[in-house]
Amino acid sequence: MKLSSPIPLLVALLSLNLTPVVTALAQVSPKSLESLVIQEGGRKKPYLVFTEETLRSLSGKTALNLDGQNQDAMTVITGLWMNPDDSWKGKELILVSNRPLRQLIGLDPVRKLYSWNALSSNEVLAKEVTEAATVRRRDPKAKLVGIQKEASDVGMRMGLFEELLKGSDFKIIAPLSGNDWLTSAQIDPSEGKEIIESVESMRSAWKANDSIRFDQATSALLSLQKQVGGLPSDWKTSLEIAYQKAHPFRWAWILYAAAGIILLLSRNSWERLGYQLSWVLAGSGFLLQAAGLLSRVLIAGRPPVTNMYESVIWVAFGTILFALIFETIYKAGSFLLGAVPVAVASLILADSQPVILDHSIHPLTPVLRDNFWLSTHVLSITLSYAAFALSLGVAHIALAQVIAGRKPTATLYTYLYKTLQVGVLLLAVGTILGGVWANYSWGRFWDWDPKETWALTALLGYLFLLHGRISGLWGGFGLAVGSVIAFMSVLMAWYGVNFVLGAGLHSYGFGTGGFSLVAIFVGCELLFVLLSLWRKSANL
Amino acid sequence: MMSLLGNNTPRPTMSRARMIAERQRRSSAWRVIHLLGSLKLALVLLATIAIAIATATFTEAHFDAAVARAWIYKAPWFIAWLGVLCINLFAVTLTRWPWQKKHTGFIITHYGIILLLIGAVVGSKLGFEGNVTLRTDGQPQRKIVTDRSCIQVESPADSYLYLMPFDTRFMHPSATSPKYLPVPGTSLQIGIEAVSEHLTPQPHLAPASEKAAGTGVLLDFSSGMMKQTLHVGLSTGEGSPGTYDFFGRAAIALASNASALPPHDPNGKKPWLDLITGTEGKPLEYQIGRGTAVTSSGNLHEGDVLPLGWADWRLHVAQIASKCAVVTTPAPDDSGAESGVPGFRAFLMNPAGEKSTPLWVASGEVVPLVLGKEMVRIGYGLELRPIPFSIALAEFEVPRDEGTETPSDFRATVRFKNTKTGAQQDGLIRMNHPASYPGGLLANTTGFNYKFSQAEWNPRDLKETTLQVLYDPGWLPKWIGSLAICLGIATMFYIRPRE
Repeated sequence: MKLSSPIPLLVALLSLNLTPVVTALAQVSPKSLESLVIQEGGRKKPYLVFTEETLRSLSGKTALNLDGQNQDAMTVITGLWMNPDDSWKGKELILVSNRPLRQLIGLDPVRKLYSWNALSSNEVLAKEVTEAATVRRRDPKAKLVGIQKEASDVGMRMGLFEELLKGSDFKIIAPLSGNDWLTSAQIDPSEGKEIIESVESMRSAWKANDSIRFDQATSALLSLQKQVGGLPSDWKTSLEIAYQKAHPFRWAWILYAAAGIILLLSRNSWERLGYQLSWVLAGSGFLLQAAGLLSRVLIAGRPPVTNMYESVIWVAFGTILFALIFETIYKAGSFLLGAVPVAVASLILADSQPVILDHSIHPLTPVLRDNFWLSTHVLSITLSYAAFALSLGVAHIALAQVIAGRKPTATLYTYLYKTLQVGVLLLAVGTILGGVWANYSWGRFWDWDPKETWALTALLGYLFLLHGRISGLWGGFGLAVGSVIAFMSVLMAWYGVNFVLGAGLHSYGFGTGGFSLVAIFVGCELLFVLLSLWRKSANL
Repeated sequence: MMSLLGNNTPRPTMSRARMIAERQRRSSAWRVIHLLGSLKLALVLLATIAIAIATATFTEAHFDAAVARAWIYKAPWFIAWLGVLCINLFAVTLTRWPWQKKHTGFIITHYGIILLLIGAVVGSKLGFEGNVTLRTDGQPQRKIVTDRSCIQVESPADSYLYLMPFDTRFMHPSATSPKYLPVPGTSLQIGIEAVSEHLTPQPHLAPASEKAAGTGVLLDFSSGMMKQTLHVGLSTGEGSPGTYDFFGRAAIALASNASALPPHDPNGKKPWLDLITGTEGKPLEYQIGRGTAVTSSGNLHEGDVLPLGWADWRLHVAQIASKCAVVTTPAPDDSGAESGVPGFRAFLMNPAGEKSTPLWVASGEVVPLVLGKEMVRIGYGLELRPIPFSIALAEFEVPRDEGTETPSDFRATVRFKNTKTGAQQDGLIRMNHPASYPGGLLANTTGFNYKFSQAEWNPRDLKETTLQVLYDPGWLPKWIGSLAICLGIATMFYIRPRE
């Protein structure tokens, strides 16, 4: 096993600060509320999840430094609910993430969080938000871009803040008829006197900083909520709370990174032990990730590939899955070593960019509500991305060896070829299944929708690569170079169509942001390829 | 444990290689087959098709899906190139003749692609895609709107309607180089000398018979703030408009004397503009007011400009004429609102080169072109395809996600009626679950079937839904081809026969 890989990258990744947020409570702890069920965004979820999602929407974080103290989402959001006084309007908790927007509206270009007072008195912002709203009113399907989109996002965060202050987002009781849940203020006093009283009692205890009374009132509210009914089953709520707290994907990447480092360090001595240890570590990470994905499946009741966040996690999972399968067959080490950087980078990206990659579980757009097609078409397409990501990793090992002045073995190139085969088969199957699904949902098999077209472009690119190898136009090295370049078409099909082109029928997946990150990645990859080409020609 | 690189390449054994080389040397037909089926041609095809379609997606994002379609996906050169691909795929399977067991996956995959492309051609030639908008309180529909724009010409020779494909988006005729279309059965030609994507009805004054004639005015209202210009035509003649509702915010009226003007609401606060024509040759008298109060008054001549005091709206008197009526004809919209419908300006021409007056033909309208004694009716719009049954919307429901207004599904119950037998059949169309007519296993598998899928809805009117309609006789070859590609690749990569 001859390996050469970017150790500094892994070390740098591991040195990231993973210390959990230390919450210094200045207040009563709202912990007793975490299993309260709340209806928001088209589904019922535990209060803990609601607060984290809400604060992430509002501030881009799940904890904030307010009044000189680090406060977690439960504390901040419960504070807004229990004590909605005007002092909140002066607190810096609304995210203005876009730097050009901050400059345009005359805010500090460095700071990202602002108070409602500061934003609501900003006339330039108000003008931009109004213009964005006008565009939307004229054409509800209009796509906002640039500053207008950013301003509209800030406007929506301000709206969310106002809703929270009014208490209208805290829908905690199932109605007698219909399915629109009620806030405590909407409950008819003649029917839900006890509920109103328990919320009032929570409020006064919160303000008086009386933990015992607060916990008594919340436990009363929880049992009243159960009496009224309409709740998801207890195991589902408990599972969602556990999933929310456990951060399985974060622990998974730490284990993967450790596996990668041990694999690298043991290549000269203790090779067998190192390989076994890295297998155990990667396998544990894989099981943890599988458990996390399974939790999402059970909570949402659908395959975990319905937005960019989920697909990034899933592709990381698939990459490790294929690597472990190949390792079981060939015991080579190269598959695992190729997969680890890809999986680790994907999982860190998913964890660290909540504004671009939304972690929340939302109800699906009607066209996606078909578990058969989601689990056949989408899973095979995303698994093909995973296989190509693995080939990208294996190609990196080969090219790194070339750059280091060594000649990769023919076996390594064979492994690369095998990963490409998996990807080509899955992408062909996935693209065709997409056509069959489109025939049912949209009423046509193929219509050159950009997502369809880019899937085909990527497939043609990889077929070009394999046919060129068959014809002898290029050898293993060309295959490695091609695997890196062809992966750019996968990025385009996966990220580019939704985030850059923003056209076509797959509009439910559209988003913004991350362009500079992806552009830097593409630039680095091309430089890496150029460097290997230069070293190859120098060594000839 | 491992196989060597390129083990998927069918490597001919020595005698086989010699036989293949020999047949190429002996026969020019084999040489052509090997040339057409060469890997180099395959590489060129793969690369060019990939680059072309990738470029098309950027074209679509920056212009329009229709442009990408016209330039690339549906362009003759692209279709021809796919034809070359089919030849390459077919020829490469011949180069492996006589086939061996190891060629199974390879043959299945390559024929699968050919079959899929044949299915696509059959579908696009013999089938069609379109849509139909239905209302629960509307009439059953017997026609489907396709996405193909065409000109409809009624020939004076046989009174038949002839359809000719024409799309204003991709044609750029001019007065100096018009596009000519023959009128079937006659020696006449229709000349198209201009196109516009924004035709709106524009008023103008035309001489009229005794009863319809009156004093007419053409008024232009413009606002710099709204970046808009409105053309309004009013006449005192019978059948012409005498009043104009200005965005519901103000009322404009024209009459020959003050007593003929509509009365003003004494309690109303709506601004108004009254115009009195008086006797012939006199200037227009005007009054501007609010409720019953008059804020300004005076005289107006042709060419005068008057600020109205309604934001920055100004009135320009474009024309005053007697003994005329107001007629509206489509013309390119110069208001800056980019509203209106597409259309073109056409004239009729006889073999002697004489031309009729050019007229604008807007989408959805029929216009008679008259040259001497000859008259040809011409229309423009999306092609309508008749279907051998009728479809009506019985019920339409939009269930929502709990606690929100977000739709969770769309459920349309439709009623099909066979127009010959009168037999009725209901179908339920949900997201991902289309309804088919006539339906049944054979029709569904062959695609000789009309398939209705949910396409669009109107959030403001839940009695209406738009369905996508597909009639695709190429479905079976597409299906088999698709299956063959998947199975073929899997066989090629993972199933190796023992030789």
